[in-house]
Amino acid sequence: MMSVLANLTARGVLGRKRALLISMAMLLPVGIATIYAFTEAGNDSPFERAELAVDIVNGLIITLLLPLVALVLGTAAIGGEIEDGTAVFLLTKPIDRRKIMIVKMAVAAACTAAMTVPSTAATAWIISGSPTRGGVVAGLAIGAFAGAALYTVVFVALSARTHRALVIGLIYVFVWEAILANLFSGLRWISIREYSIGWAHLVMDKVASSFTAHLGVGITVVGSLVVLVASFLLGSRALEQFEIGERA
Amino acid sequence: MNLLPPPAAPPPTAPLPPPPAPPPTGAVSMRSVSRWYGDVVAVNDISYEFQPGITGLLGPNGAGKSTLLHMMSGMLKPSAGELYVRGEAAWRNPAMFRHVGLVPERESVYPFLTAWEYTLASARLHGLDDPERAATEAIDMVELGDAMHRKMGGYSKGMRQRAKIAAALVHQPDVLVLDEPFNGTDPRQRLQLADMLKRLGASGRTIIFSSHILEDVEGLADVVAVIIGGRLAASGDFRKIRRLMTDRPHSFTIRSSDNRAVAAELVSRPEVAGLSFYADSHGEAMVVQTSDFGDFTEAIAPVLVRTGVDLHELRPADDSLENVFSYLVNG
Repeated sequence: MMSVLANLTARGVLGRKRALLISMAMLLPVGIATIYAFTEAGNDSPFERAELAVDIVNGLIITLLLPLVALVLGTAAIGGEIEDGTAVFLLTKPIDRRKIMIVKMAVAAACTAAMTVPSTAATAWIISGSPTRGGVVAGLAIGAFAGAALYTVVFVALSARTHRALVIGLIYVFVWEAILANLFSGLRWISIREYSIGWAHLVMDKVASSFTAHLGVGITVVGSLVVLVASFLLGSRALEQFEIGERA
Repeated sequence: MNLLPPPAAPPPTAPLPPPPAPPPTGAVSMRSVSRWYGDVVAVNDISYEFQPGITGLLGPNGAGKSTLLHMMSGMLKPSAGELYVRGEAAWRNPAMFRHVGLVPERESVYPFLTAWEYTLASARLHGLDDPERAATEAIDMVELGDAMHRKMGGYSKGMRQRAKIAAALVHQPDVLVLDEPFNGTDPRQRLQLADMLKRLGASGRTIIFSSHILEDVEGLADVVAVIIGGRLAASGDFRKIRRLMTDRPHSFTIRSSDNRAVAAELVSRPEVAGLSFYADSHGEAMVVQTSDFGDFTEAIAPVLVRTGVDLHELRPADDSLENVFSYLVNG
């Protein structure tokens, strides 16, 4: 039963050329890294290369592409089905709505991770020139994985509650995290980007000031768990109270 | 001498609570169900018991039919009242879908799936023991076998409708709710669908469907529930509903060997309100308007015997569903 649900979700999330378009977007940082490796890499020290790897991944993937991919795939997992009416197919089955929500979140998060983590690791590896130096590749991959999971579950839950999930998600990423959290340090406590950086630093040496972890390990772990659990509870409740025709 | 103390006054007691409502008896039971959206009342205080067989919900667009169907399929919360399906509350009760199938009006199918995959997925999500067999039977029932391995994105509206019905039927629900099932179907598909629903109704299932097309309801439903302005205006056999409309004269068409002689006998009777004649390709016919259905039907046979005419035709002229619906809608 759950495999059917997972299969339908994966096909829905990755369909409509989404997988192709996102894959192409995720090749962009790999392409930039490759160009750098063939042109400039010889002039830089290992430390400078590691620092550059962190800056590129942080600026292009963690801050920009990762939340966008999570937004697109997360809102497609259930919000898209609610909008086009196919959600009724699942919601008229004798299945606990919490099971539907957890499968949707898990599959969408896995898809986001599959789309973003390989690109993150490849970019970091190519630029830094080593898979192990300073724990950069592993750290950034872990940060990307955590970000993929956290952003996606938030956007899945959001899209189960409102048809404005896409707009709210964009505001969250580009206003809350990119501007407000930089201006007011207290807001970093509720920033998924900061949690991602925190997870990356669990295994990564400190190599660049632009990628400083503002949150401690405890806050990162607890904050991440709170995001996961709260998203699941809010998303499940939205599905339990779903009313046909209220949004579409 | 009575030495016993006077009997103590009974302690004050709170008024007894009202007795609990009797358990619902219908396959789908509604008690004072209403649903409103802000200031707009979509369904207004409907109480009704849907029994096995086919019930057609008839009403103009916007009457509240879909809202009612969505509430009885557990996909919409009543703003007030109680709604039970097989004795269980419908709202927030996914387990109910073991016994209920819903065919929504929207074309809600996954375009990337074939009808076979779609129906099989439905069978698996219901946790059926033999999902392949159940899916095969459901596909056969809607006669979609030839196209079942094509992606539904390329289906016509009628084919998608049949795929939705197959998915809703795959677990053989006791209650099948269909919202405007004939939308988008061609005449042949309408007949197929009507035949299939008749078979399901005859097998003891409760089939409830909505339509704003009179012919669909008239030809298929055992019972009609007319919804107007969110209220249940009338329900039952529509011919019986018509007979209960005593404020409107009933019309009968009579063709006989001598219509004038019959008219002469009828014109003096108190229950006859009017007479008129017309001619068509079958010859001359007489239309009698009567204020009392029962008195007229009792009186007409003796009248015909007395006049000694040959009766060719005697039929009610305005007990079609169209007439009943028109009278109910227009007041």
